[in-house]
This record gives sequence, structure tokens and C-alpha cells, in this order.
Amino acid sequence: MSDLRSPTLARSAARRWFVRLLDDEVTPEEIAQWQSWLAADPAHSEAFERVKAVWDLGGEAATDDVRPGAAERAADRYDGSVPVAQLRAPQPARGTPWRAPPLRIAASIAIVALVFGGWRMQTPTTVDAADLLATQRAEHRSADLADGSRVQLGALTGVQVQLTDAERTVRLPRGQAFFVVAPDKQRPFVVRTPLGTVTAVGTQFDVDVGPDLLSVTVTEGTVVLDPRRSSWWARMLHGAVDPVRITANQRLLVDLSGASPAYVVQSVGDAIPWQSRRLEYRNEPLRAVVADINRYAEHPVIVRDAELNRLGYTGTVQLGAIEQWLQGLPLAFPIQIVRGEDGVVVLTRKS
Amino acid sequence: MTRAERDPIFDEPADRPDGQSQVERLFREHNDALLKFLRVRLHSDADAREAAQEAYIRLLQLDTPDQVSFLRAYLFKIAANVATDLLRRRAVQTKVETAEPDEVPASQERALQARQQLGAVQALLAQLPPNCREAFLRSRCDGWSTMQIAQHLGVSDRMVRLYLVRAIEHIETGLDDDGAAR
Repeated sequence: MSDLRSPTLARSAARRWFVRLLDDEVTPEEIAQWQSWLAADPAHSEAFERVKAVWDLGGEAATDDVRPGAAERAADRYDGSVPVAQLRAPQPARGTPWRAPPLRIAASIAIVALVFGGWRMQTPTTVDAADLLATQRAEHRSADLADGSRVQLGALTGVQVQLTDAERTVRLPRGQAFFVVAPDKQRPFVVRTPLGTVTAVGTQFDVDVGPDLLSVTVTEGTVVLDPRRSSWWARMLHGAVDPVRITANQRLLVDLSGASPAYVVQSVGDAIPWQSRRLEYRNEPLRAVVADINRYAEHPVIVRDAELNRLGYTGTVQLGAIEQWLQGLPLAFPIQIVRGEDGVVVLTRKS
Repeated sequence: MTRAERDPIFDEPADRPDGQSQVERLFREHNDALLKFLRVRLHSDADAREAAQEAYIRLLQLDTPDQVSFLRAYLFKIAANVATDLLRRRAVQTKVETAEPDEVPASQERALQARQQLGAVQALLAQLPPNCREAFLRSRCDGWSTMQIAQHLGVSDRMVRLYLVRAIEHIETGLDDDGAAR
């Protein structure tokens, strides 16, 4: 079972594996199971690395004054059946009211998509001051925002829109969206992603967010990407880096998958091809291509080989013909396709 | 094939089931997993590598190091023991010297970023229910085993694991929310 559709699932499995491995007695069978779990999906090892980082941070942050006293422990009735955050809820918003509904991760949005997707199919939708908008697999949608801006969502994408007097904010935890921004100098238009924040005034641009890849393409005007305004995990990976400015017909690719972060600015044509149900790539890592395809393909596609993931891909994918694209891959690249029983498509290096 | 049928001159050394090459092969096969496994218990990559090397030496010193199934079963067991020993040594050392200078070369900048998160992590730790917090601190900081913590708290080891999972979850999602709010 691949966890491509749910980072939450991968993360909760990663926590349980980590704690299991802390035990005194770990059997060789469990080690083998853990290894195959890690190898099954790049998202699994990413999730495991996150847990390790959390574990390390927790130890570094611990001081003697957080140690609970005996009386405090005796009065404790917590049985671990619910997450600690739920135990503490309902919790008043910390800081600004904006933080009240914390947008956990893409998965929560995916659930919203399942629940509300049915009766929100008409396009375009008008979005009020604070709203959630999401698409399902292979679905595209477009919505007009109350400020006159328009957003077009690619497949398996969720956004949360907040329009206030000071700022127009769109949260995009994962997926792809194209923005046509109504000019308003008083209220910057801000797209917040886990890998960085993109700010624009009046412009047209596309944002594509994966687990460790971010691509921002500008078709009109200028945007600024601030990598420091990102999740704690991405900030650790970014290190100290200044905001990057991108202008029309440029694309910025941020790759956090390697040992050190990579930032590449390319020039591109003026079209955003995914809206015509076609994806065009010029020397982009295969992992980025596969991440996009997985928002459309019926069966998840997994790349097993780290080197293959970095392979530069140039070409076009017709979103209606992903199967044909897959069949053509081994002809042009050193790639072998293996199909699992559950329909999962695994790409490995041709030996 | 038994050892007696083997020609010591013409057979490939890798095929010879002598202890050293078996152990070497085992390590090559499991190196990544072993380092990841050790990294769960130890708090730096350098310590994990040190422990892996020590486990390798201990395996070579075993009386019957030429039985693959035996080696595979005990590789991780021995590595876990080495890690526990190393943790104890480290606990003594860190009281003397606070930081190991050779430990943060490539990711020094990232480590610096990480430090900025410590305030947030501290707050999240303080939010944990007392027993859950105690389990986390005993395991992470004092190196206690799950069983030891279970006895200490008077709960099952299953409950201790659940506490640890919930503690990690709380810090992880708390940091995610913190990041998203920026």
C-alpha cells in the first residue's frame, strides 16, 4: 500500500516504527519489515527522517524544569487514546485569530474534498473571505475570489483562502494552482506553502508544491519567494537563504530532496500548460514529473531509485494518456516498469 | 557445499564462508538499515557510525561467526547493545565537554536553524500530560528502556510506546502548525 495519498498515514506509521525500534528486543523479522516499509515509498523515509529530527529536537529542548513531579504524575489520567492536541482542545487561538483553524496538512484537505466535493462541482465558484476549496484526483477547478482575483486548481489540490484588509492569503499545503491576481497595492497577495511563501501584488503565476519540491512559474509581473516563511522542517533544510525574485516567463525550482538545497531559475514560455491538460517539462527531475502525474494517474507511480529520481526529464505528458506515456518511458530512458499486484507502477533503473 | 570441498586457491574469496567475509558481506547488505537503526538510539550520525564499527568488530570476535542466519539475527541485537554502551559513555562525557567539535560539519547551518525551533519545542514539551512527558524524557534524555519506564510509571510497555508516539506526534504537528502560521 502506498501512502502517496496521505502523508498523515506515512507519518503516523513512521512514529510507530521509530518507537518500536527503541525497544530492547527487536526481532530480525521486524527489522526486515521496517526496511521494506522504508523502501516502499520515498514518503516513508522522509517521514522517518522527520521523526528522527523531532526526537533529537525534543531532547535538545528538554530542561530539568519540564520534568513532571510525582504528585503531578499521580493525578494524570491521560491514556494516550487521543492525540495530546485534542486533549487540550478546545483551545483558544494563540496569537491572531487567523491561527484558529490550523491547516494541518494536505490530507485534511483531501478529506474536505471528499466530503464537500460533491456539491461544489459547479465552476467557477465565488469564494468568500475565508473558504476552503479542493479538487479530487484528475479534477481541475476554477474559482473567483471576492477581491477579483481568480484561482485555478490542478488535481488533488486544496487551498484555504483568507481575505483580510491587510493581506490576501492562500494556503497551499500541496498541489498545484494558477493565480490571476487583481492588483491591490494595499493588500499583498500571499501564497503560503510548507516549502516557502510566495508574495505578489498584481500578477499571474503558478505554484506547484510537492513534499520536497516547489516550483513557481510566473507568466505576468513579479513574485518573491521567501524560503524562510515555511514549515519548521523546510526551514531546517533551507538553511540561511535570502528571498528569491522571479519575473515573467521565469520558473524557480526549489529542490529540498538532496544533501543541500538547490534553487534553479529557468526561463519558460508564457503558457501554463497544465490547464490544457498537458504537462510540459524541460530538464526537470523525474521525481517532479512523477509527483505531478500522481495527482492524475489511476494507480500511483513510484520511483525506486534515488539516481533515477534526479534524472532530468524533457518532454510532454498528456494527462488523458498517462498510460501511453508510461509505456513510452523505457524506450527513451534507462527505465524499467514493474507493475505490482495492486496496480502500483514502480519505475526502476534498467540493468 | 561444505568447507572441505572448497579449493582455497581457485575459489573466489567471497564464496568462502569464513567469518570475516561473511560479516563484511552482511554489513554491506545492511549498512544503510543498520546506520538508520543506530541513529534511532543515538543522537548523531557520528555516534551511529562509531557504534556500527564497534558492532562489526564484536561480530568478528564471536566464536561462530560463519553462520549467516545467526549473524543476521544478532547483527541488530549486538548493534543495540553497542548503542546502549555508547549512550552511557556519552552521558558521562557530555557532563565534561558540552559539545563535540567534529560533529556538526556539513549541517552546521541547519543545526543553527534547528536551535531556533528549540523555544517552540520547549513549549510543546511542557504541554504534554505528565506521564507522557516523563516517558519521553526518560527515554530520550536518560536512555531508559521501554520496560524500565513501564515499571517506573506502573503501566504496560504498550502504554509507554503509545505515550512516546503521542509525544513525538504532538511536537511534530505542533511544529508544523507553527511553521504554517508564519
